[in-house]
Amino acid sequence: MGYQLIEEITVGAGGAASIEFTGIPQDGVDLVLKLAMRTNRAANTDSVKIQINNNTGSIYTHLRLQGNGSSVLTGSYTGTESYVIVNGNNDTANTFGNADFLISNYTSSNDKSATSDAVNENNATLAYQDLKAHLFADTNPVSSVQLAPSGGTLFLQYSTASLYMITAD
Amino acid sequence: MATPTYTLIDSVTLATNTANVTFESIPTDGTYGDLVIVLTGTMAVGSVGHGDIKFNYSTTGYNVVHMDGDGSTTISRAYSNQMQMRFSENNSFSTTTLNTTIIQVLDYAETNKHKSVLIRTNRADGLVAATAGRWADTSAINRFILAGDAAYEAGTTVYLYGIAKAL
Repeated sequence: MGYQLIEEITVGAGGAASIEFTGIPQDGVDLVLKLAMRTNRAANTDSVKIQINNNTGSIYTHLRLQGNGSSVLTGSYTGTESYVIVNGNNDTANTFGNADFLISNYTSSNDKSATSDAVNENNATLAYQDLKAHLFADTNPVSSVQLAPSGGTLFLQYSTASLYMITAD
Repeated sequence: MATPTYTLIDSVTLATNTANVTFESIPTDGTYGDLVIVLTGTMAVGSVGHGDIKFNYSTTGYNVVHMDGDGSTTISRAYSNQMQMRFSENNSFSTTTLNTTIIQVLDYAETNKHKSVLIRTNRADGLVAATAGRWADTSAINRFILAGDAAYEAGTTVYLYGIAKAL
């Protein structure tokens, strides 16, 4: 009851090109995806691409509010996946970006509203905090979630992705 | 099996448009340390409107710092001694696009401190915002009202969770 772990995936040696959660139980209220991730992108920061239900349509909209240590910006996006910021491979060694992604009423027959808070951990002035408001124009219950690096090709070893279900009992 | 520490206290799915969504009889006996309120829905406004919360139905003592982005412009504002705690500086709700708002009330039942509140409110077509709030009252919170510029529309859901601080 309450906040239940559905599955935790830890990336092993050699990395992982993608991560997928399937067979998500349909008796919860909200889904929470918690990420601690680093990719092999040779840069400060990368993003994790997020899709639901293997939906590759242009159904993903978000607004972002972002600070980077010296400025703040806001922007919007509509496209074929959503994003949260994590660490790239030029960020401080042994550090991982953290993200918290909540999909509200994930079993409903409405579009899915979501919220994410993410940080890029870096021992330097340049480090990102990223808040997003998401909308997925998919009226199907969320039964699977797909993750992949955006700029890099691999999630690096020790990256973790944990999917939780918040229940009403 | 682990002892549950994030527990649903109450919930509602609005059957009709509702101007004041109330939650009462919240336990203040130490069962929970923090409250988490998750609101998802729309508002019956002509265009867009604000959402807000009032603790113990009080209309005094709300202090906030807002940080908003709307896709084009960022804004930050601070207000003191307001009549309610708004979720954001800009309008958080519309009648067309779902908003998800998460309100965390820390140490809600303590009677030796003002109440600290963290709010994230999100509407993908118009607003992403974070608010740090303080209700300048040492009373334990045993009820609250969710309200705003107009009624929350039918289908809006509100879930109230309690987080225990001890097993």
